[in-house]
Amino acid sequence: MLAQLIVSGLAAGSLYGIMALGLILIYKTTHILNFGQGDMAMFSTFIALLLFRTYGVPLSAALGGALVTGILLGVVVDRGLLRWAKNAPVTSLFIATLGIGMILQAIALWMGLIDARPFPYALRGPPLFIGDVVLRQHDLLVFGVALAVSLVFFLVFKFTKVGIAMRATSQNRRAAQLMGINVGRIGTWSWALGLGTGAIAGCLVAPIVFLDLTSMVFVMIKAIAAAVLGGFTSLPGAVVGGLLLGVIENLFSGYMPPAIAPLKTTFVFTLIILVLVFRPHGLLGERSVGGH
Amino acid sequence: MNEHLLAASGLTKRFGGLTAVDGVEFHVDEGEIVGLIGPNGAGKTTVFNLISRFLEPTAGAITFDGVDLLRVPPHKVIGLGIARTFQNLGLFPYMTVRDNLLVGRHNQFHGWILSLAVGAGRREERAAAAEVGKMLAAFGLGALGGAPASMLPYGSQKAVELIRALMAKPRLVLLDEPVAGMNATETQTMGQFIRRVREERGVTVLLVEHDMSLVMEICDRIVVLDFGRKIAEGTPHEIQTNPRVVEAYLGQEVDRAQV
Amino acid sequence: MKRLIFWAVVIVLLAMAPFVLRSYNLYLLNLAAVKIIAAIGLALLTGYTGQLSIGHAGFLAIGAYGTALLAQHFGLPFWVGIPVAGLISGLAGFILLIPALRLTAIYLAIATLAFGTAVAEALPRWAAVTGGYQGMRVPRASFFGVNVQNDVAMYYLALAMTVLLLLVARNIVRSRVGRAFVAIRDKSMAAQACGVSLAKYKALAFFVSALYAGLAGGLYAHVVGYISPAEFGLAKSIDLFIMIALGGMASLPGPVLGALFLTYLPHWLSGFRGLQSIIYGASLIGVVVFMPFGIWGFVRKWTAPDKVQSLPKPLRAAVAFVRGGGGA
Ligand SMILES: Nc1ncnc2c1ncn2[C@@H]1O[C@H](COP(=O)(O)OP(=O)(O)OP(=O)(O)O)[C@@H](O)[C@H]1O
Ligand SMILES: [Mg+2]
Repeated sequence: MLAQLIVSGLAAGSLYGIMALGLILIYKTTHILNFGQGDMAMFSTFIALLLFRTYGVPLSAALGGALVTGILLGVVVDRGLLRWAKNAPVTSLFIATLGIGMILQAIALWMGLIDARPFPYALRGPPLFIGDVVLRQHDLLVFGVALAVSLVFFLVFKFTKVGIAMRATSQNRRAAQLMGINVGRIGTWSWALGLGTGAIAGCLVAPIVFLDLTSMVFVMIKAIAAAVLGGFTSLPGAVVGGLLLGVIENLFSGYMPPAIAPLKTTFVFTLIILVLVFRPHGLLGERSVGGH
Repeated sequence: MNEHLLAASGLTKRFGGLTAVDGVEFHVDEGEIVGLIGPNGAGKTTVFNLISRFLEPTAGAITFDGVDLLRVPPHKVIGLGIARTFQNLGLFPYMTVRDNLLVGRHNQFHGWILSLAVGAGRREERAAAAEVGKMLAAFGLGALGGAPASMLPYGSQKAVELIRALMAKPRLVLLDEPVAGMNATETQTMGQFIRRVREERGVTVLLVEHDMSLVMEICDRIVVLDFGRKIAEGTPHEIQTNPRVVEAYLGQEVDRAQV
Repeated sequence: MKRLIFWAVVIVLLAMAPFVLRSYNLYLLNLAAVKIIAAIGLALLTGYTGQLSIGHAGFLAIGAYGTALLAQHFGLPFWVGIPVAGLISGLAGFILLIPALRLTAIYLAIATLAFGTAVAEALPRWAAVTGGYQGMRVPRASFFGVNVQNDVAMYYLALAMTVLLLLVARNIVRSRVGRAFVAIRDKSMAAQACGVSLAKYKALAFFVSALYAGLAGGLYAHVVGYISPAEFGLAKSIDLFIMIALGGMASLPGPVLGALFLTYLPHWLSGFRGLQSIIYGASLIGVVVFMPFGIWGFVRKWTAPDKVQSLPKPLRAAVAFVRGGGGA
């Protein structure tokens, strides 16, 4: 029982973690909390569904299409829109991302996303049994992708020029600028990478929850919660926070009496408020970043 | 027992490894205009923020009229009689000048919140508005009351901020670089303004300022900080001829020349 | 004096609406009143005091369910139930005070989001009390034995509440409290140096704002007669936020305009679901880029005295009138 709860919790948590990675990447380098992340992920995922179902593109190519859509979306959002509002306060930019999300919802609606649509599993097949723990093949895929995405992030940040510039920008924007880093371009990269990651998360979540206009919004909220647990500005923290969140949720609903167990999400978000108040740098982090 | 209006002893503030204020000892007596000077980064604003209680000192004590300031939360400092201005303008930009001054006398409103909600605060508001009008007129800014603060020229904003500090009828005002960025005439006017504040209203002044001619002209006494330490104290004449002060400022000149 | 007459005429006209309008139109106006009240509450918190909230539907829910439950279990009439539920919601507002005192803008927004989500998730799952996903019927409102659960009676209730709460908001905004709110928003250090207690006035802002949302929720419960969790989710919080952002959040006419916009636009565009989101989305972006102070800010700007001078005479008079009557 315990092992099963933890394993399924980790699977759900990996999804939160992947989504949180994209969110935090954008937040770190641009200081914008992208409240349209859910809608943007929904849009990319929907493109994959369209390619696969309507145009008969093979699933793997369709999923690639989602990734490309996410990346392009990132470029468009940053270059096409946010650039115009460069001097607006962060609150306004946050409102703008909300607006972009709404427009994407409308476009998806017009393109035919009216009811909840089933989304294909990339890996189907009989579940695996490890001891008495049941593991769906999709869970395995999720673990694999989470690992791969984390690895890619790690490598990009550690070894590529863009990644190092991103790190510098997130630590001190002004200094980075003075060192000759094109902060604007770093913002575009972050948006592209962030929304690409969102698309990946979307394609992994969609088979489980079905795809409709708002199904990704809730994943985004969970991702925000995961990010808070992880300290909100740390990329590894986002992943670990996601895993933690998934496990906490599952253990809560597994072990609480039936009357309280369904309140797991309420519990989690109450916990988030407490974390924000008492450990603004997250459950794991040490540096203070949340407060003043 | 304590005849000084404001007294600091052993005042120390460390930010991580940096000691911004280091064992500073000074006092201000009732009716004085005291200058607090020193090169950039000497710790002057930090001293102000310690007095205003925005920062908790690492060590030391501050008393005001015998009261231990360190037991007072920031919003109660003004109630004791200490008002201040800010180095980077503390006006509320979207409020009118009049509303800014009304915030300055926030403590003198007594209407109960529930009664305010049903509109019972009108009379108090009117009286306050009249007082604000008089104050603006007294300083020759009568026409500006209705303008948003951020629309005023910089010099006027500085003046309005000083008037706002006076609205609370303080005994001591802390002025952080009141003439920074002003031209010679504006500086002159502000200097007279500060004098008037003391002469007409009996308000004691602690002044942080880089404009030496102004400081020398209006201060009774000067305290000099360098790297957080007090390096000198005395009359303007004594300070001008103090070799350590000259050295501190010269050092800064050299630094500047190198940059 | 002129202004008093103006407002008296407006209120008399509004009071006569039930003689002209059909029931459905009254119902729409009632919904608009709910949104206006909640939006004003949010504007006091976010627009005036600068405390971002994207979880306000949580307070709306507390007010609505509170009113319904008080009527159901204690038989409280609506005119007791709504204020009591509003008060409960107001007190719940203090939950967000500690985060508000410790966190900066975006982190506070997340805390409010967490609050709203916690409430929205609890409603359907706490089925024994709330009736679960199906929701619950709100006991019929009656006034000393007379059944007043109809659109006309509710219209007068809504009108009275809206006018009263607008007046209260105006009084608050024009008092030292309103100035303290704005001072905290713009320069919290200078505000403290002037004697404004951050804890006290932030607490007050959260209380008043949650009170307004709770009262709006209570009114909503009686206006629609039936409440379910779906109406108090994140989307509702965002809607409220859009209302004030669009209308102009640091003003009182702003949230009123925004609330009317978000009541009638979906109604007019009910056949075109996508169009509605496009318009919301585009106007949000437009507001950020072109009208940082919302529609009302835009109106104020273009009716500023120096601009008005260049207008033709009749227009000038009209503008002077609006300015005189609006004021925040
Ligand atoms: N909140 C803070 N955190 C960390 N360091 C600080 C903080 N406030 C001030 N300092 C540092 O303390 C030192 C003293 O700063 P302060 O602002 O008191 O100088 P100042 O004498 O007012 O200088 P200036 O004339 O330039 O205004 C500086 O090195 C400054 O960088
Ligand atoms: Mg300074």
